[in-house]
Amino acid sequence: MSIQVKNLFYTYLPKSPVQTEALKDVSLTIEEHSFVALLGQTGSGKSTLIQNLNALLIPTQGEVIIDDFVVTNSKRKNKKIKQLRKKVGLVFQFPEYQLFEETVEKDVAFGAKNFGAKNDDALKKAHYALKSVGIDESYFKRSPFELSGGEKRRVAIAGILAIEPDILVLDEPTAGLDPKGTNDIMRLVQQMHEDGKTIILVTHDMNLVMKYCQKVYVLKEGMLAFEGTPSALFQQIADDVSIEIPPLYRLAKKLSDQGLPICFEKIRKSEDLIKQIQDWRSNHE
Amino acid sequence: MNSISFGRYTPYETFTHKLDPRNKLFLSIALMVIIFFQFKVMSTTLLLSGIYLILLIVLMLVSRVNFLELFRSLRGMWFLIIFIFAIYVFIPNNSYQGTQVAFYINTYAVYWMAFYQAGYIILRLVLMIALMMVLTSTTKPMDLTYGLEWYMSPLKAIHFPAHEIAMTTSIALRFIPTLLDETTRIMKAQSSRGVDFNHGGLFKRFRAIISLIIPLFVSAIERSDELANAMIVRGYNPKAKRTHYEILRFGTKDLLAFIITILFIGGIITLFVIDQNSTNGFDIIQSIFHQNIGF
Repeated sequence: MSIQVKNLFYTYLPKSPVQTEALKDVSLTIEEHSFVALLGQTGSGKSTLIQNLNALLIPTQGEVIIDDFVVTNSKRKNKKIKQLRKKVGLVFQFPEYQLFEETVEKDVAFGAKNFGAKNDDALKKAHYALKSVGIDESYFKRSPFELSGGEKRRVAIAGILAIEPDILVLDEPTAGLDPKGTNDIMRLVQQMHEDGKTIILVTHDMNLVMKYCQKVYVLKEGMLAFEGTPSALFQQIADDVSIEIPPLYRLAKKLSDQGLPICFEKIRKSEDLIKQIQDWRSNHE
Repeated sequence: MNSISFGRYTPYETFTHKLDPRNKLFLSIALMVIIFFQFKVMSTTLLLSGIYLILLIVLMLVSRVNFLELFRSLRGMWFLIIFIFAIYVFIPNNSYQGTQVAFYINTYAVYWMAFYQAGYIILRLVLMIALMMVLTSTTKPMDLTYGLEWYMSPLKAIHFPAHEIAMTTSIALRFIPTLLDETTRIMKAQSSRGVDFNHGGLFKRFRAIISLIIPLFVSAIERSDELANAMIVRGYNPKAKRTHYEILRFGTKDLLAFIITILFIGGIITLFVIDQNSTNGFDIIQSIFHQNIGF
């Protein structure tokens, strides 16, 4: 169930004085069950690209192929689009703004119900999703508007999880959260990846990219500027405006410059670097 | 990105753009009033409407107003236009009797006059919309509210909250694009959760709208709460005497525009008074060409 984007162009408000080409000839393939990051400056076309992935936006030119779903400009079949949206769950930035139901469980079940689950079934899915994001039963009957910011965010993410998508696209899920909130969300995302979902993460936080992602795609002015592993990315670029090399990588780089043999590909957390140093020391004693 | 662009301010530097908003407000309203004068003689009314139309087109060209937008706004009104025609044509009106009959539907006579009346109403509507477009696309919304505040300020003597109203209006105007963006954002988020805003029965649509409106209200209320706090923190006091960053000036250009427009309006009013006081009305074409081509 890979995602293939072929020569994708997207133009906002075409043939008007304010038309903007948000995506220009983007082609990429995202493997099944992978955990990838989508990077780029504000206005580089990330949001446009992810909205093309679940047919919220229809390509101006080119196509998006997910499984046997093909989204192009010519074939617009709304029935299929709904199935596609069930397959590709999109968590928008600040998803807490989409909450509206009277109770937490109803709100989470809302999406599942829209995609055809019966009431009881939807509630069951909602409870499961809520538990997996770490919201316990005492919250189920409360109003979503009473919750704290981080809790709201988790409830909103649960609302997408209850749809049971195979591919999960998250647009800056950690924006505006404190370190604990960030960790909670990322651990949750990692868990979902381990459960077999394909994860596409849009973020500005290179530490997260280094820690979790297998592959990164960098968009620049609507074009694909880089595709590869996080460490290859950090190796290739000097400090960019949008891409700040994480401290851990910089430390590893300094050590490597001093003559320590470092395998950059294997470093995700500080523990990985420590392990490499320890291995090196034990080899030299 | 939003689709509502009707009469939106365009940042050009034309003659009209540079006029004082107070001046533009007054003149627009005055012109709107004379557009609605109906003369006793049909040819006079038609001729004057034609003149207004030409002058407005010139004004739109001078102010660089987009003509396409005018047509677009008309396209949005097609239902209203059909409705007006239907009312005028199918509702019997005794005053049409004796005028030319266009055609019969069974035994019901449809008069040319009905078409003329309906067309005239639509023409006036178009003129008014064009005039409003000139005003709003050459004046920043904020300047308009300052202009309004200026007109309302004498009412402060009777404790009318002129400044508060102007402030509220300008904040409301400021938030229209923000709320539109918010609307598209929430619509997309809910579409991702399987809401279909374009299809389905009445109940489904209603549910869809609810899922849009509640988050929109919540975020609007939160925003206004934050804005209120930000204003209080910066010491906002509605009762305080305020100065403006941009002081409205009535310059030579304004004087020129004012005199020309007032002379024009004065002329039309004179004609109107003559028309209303004479028994047969004032036939402009007859008095100029000494010919009678009336209906």
